[in-house]
Amino acid sequence: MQARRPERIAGRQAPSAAVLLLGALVLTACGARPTPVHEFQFFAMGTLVEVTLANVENAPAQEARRAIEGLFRRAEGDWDAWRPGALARFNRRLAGGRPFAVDADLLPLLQGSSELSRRSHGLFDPAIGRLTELWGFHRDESRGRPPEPEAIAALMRRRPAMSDLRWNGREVQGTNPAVQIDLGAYAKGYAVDLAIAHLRGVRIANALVNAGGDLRAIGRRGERPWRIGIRRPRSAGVLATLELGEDESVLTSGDYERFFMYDGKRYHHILDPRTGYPAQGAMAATVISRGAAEGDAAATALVVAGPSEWQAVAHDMGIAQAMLIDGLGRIHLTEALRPRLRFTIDPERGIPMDMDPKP
Amino acid sequence: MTAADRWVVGAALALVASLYVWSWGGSLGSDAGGSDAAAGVVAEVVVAGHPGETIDLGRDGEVEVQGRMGPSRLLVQDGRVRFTASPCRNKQCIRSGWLAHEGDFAACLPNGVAVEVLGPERGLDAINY
Repeated sequence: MQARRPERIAGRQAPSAAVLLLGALVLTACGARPTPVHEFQFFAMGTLVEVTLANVENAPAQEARRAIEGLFRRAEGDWDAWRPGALARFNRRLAGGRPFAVDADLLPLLQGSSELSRRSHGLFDPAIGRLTELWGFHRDESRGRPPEPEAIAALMRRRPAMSDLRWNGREVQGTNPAVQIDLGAYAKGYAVDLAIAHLRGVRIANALVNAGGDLRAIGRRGERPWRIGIRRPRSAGVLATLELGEDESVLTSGDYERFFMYDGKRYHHILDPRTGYPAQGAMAATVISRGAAEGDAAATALVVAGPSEWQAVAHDMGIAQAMLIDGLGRIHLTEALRPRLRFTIDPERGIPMDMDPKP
Repeated sequence: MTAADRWVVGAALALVASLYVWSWGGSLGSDAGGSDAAAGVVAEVVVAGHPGETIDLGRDGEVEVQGRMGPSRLLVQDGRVRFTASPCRNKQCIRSGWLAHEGDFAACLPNGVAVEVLGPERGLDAINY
């Protein structure tokens, strides 16, 4: 344990210099030189971002820390449709209906998410920003009750979809004023990918970036692989653990991340673009992919797809390793993922269903 | 230093002070012990704007941390920790209930306060959710 979280151990015993010194002696006495590990956290993009760097000296680690925090700060301003940044400007111009050139920074997010939307059979669709807003899921604090059914129906009749964006090189034209782009199910994963790319660029080869559970790891944590716990839906505990390969992302979408209870019913933030209501049939989907952005979109699409369609959608999105937990708590796994997970419960029995949180 | 800076520094100092009093107050010179089940188990508390602090789950007590919106209260009892109060509207943090095992995690995101149980059992580096 000493070797595992040296910074935290020091932090906990900070009240006494003697204790610190003793701690240092104990660390030294462990024999093998402990892996230098740096961990730092900050809140950005509406969530807690945690970064762990292994086998890195202090100076480059601190530099990386500043760079990554800066990257996430820019991302939260620029890629949030409800903040005065690049995406908000994009949405205003899109609603205007005239062709315009897209910012170079925003272009890969929009093109990447358009392609993933197409491959997801439209189940991941960033064009439903107005629906997100109607439900109030764009805010940290939800509105606490569902919108009027008439308002949802009126919006759905206008069928906002990514395919309403007409592309011509880096120019785009909006053809449906009901479209508002919400990158909430994509931008966090994309920011994680950018952070990993930055670390690689500065020759940090062993790192883990976790933005509110959307995570990607490269290299190893010293002498062993990175170890990840997948949270049990609707509870604070761990459902399963796995060890990651040299460059892998793990992404989960679930109905417990952002939701409200109204009249005893759960209303969560993963909206089905076909119905305008929270997706039914699945409480969580976990995806293992190379990049975090594509995994982010895929996990959302699989929750919307539900138990009957999830395998087809995963296949078409190029995802071989995935898990779906259906509305009854039963666990469905692809063959490629099954042998990698170590469950804390019996996966055949599923997760207990008495866990809807009570105030 | 802006007013916001002063506020964040003030909140950080208040957190450190409350953790210090809570962790060390009243037990100096005696072995307060605590629950055997919780020996060595700690939880990390992260508050927006400053580095994480760990609290010992072997010592029962209450901690108040200043988040972005106001105070969040944590209760430590029998080797577990939970949110008991927070200024957010939905109270998802409180609904998360007790956190006892490594990787158990709860957060009040509106208030910028997160709690995760650390421990030697499985040696997890991150939790995916």
